[in-house]
Amino acid sequence: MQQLHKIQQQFWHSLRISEKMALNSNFIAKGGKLTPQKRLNIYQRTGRTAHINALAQCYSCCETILGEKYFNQIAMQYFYKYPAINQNLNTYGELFADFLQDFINDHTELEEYPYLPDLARLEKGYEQAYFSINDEPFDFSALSKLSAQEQNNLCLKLSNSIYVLQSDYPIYEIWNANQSDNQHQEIQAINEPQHLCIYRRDFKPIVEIIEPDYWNILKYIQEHISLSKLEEISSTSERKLHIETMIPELIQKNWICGFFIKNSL
Amino acid sequence: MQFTTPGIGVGFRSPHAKDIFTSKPNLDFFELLTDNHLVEGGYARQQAHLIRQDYPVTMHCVGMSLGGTDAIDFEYLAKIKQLAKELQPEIISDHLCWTSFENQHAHDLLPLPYTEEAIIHVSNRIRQIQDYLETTLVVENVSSYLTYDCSQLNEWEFLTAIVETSNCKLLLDINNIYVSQFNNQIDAIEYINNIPLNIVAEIHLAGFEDKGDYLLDAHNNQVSTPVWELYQHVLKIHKHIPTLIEWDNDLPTFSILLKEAEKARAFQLSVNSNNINLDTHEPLLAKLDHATVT
Repeated sequence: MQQLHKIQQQFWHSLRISEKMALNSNFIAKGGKLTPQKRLNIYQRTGRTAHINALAQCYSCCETILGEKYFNQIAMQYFYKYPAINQNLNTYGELFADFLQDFINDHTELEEYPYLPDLARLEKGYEQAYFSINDEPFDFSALSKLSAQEQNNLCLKLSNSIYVLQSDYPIYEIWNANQSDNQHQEIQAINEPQHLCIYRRDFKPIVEIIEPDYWNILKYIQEHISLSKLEEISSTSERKLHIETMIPELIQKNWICGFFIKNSL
Repeated sequence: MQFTTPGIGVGFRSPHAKDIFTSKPNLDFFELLTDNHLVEGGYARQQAHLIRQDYPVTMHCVGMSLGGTDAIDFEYLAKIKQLAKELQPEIISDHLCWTSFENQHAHDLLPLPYTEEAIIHVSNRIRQIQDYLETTLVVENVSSYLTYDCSQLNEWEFLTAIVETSNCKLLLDINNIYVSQFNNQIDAIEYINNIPLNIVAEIHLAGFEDKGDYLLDAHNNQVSTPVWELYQHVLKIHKHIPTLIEWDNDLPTFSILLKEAEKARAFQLSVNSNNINLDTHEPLLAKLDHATVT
């Protein structure tokens, strides 16, 4: 497959560069209304458009705020920097929020939009919640059979749909105001960081503002801190976490959906 | 797996779900864009199961990269196999093209050179995929905007050789033939006449976008009159082949999509009952253009 591989290499290289750059098109047959270069240009556009559309679909609020044209320019730069590494276009753009942060740092005209990376994280979290794997119901029977040693090493498991986020900006309100069915509303700055949890209920992702204590406990669980360690942290930290009431509540909300024993990982 | 329900189907798209689940339209099957339903949870997977409760389904994939030079992605195939186990589709199909290079994905259907080397390479991959999926794969001819300097064969010769060498079947996309005819100056009638009768498992019809100096296979339009004419020509040769209407972008209301499906059904019935002179099809076309869906 030497020739086939070489053709695909040349073709692929042309897809990863801008239309404005010179292309090697000597492997394309000549003839017809279009030059070989213009024929390759069509593939450059169709592939790039598919990726930009996927980004626009996921980051629709960012697109609304930036405007389609400006968003497309950013998305195009992202496309050239990060090729898709998965067949599933829904997973494309995982690094877009960080990319946006760097982009904002380099573009003074965007200094009034410092909240955009956090808004992008919220939007990606929303999409991930939509596509996340279904959870198994919490197995209370297995929990009751654990030995004392196992209970000591027990870690809780969050629902696959959970995404927690902390922001210095009122991103819940910004996100809400930029939903297509919402009217314009004034958004006030906030003095304290905002804590959010995104999860899925009955196939629908939900964004909810949560108290900092809940955000902390969810983060600890996400970091695989064992329940016994959690109790220790809770009793020694400045702000006591009431895990004895919070954990049952989180199980009831299906935000905690299981457990594992740390040593068995 | 074999197609057990020849007839007319449409591509299942999520925005139409409510209409479909409530009205249960008179269609013989739905095509699932497999990649949209491979996620292991959530509504996308659930929708695939819901549609399967009421209709036979086909699974149409875009990510096997049949002509690619990367290793076959068995992790991706495992997901397809699992979904197929759950849904029991009539067929599993993908495109005769390449979609990835060095583990990066184009999310586009890129054309192959029509060479002996490519026939051997692609046939070998299709055989491996068929063995893994434990089914006959159905491969679709893609539309293209270029051909390669090194091609030694016509597209239909290339397709036929691959189907015969790998023992797969062909999904004949008539819109793709028409688009390639315009873009690459091939003869669509000669193309169709040279496709062997026994290799076609399914027909696809779709709409293109006229970009002036080329046609874009955009799937964002009604099936065009020249494509309907080619469809009738195909029906003369392949009478009992299931036909699917594809519409992926700028989605219309479901009733408009259904109207396209009814149009295809009318052509199919007319040909099968021999009550139409296919050489003078204009009146039927005109009549169908004004038909309403009941």
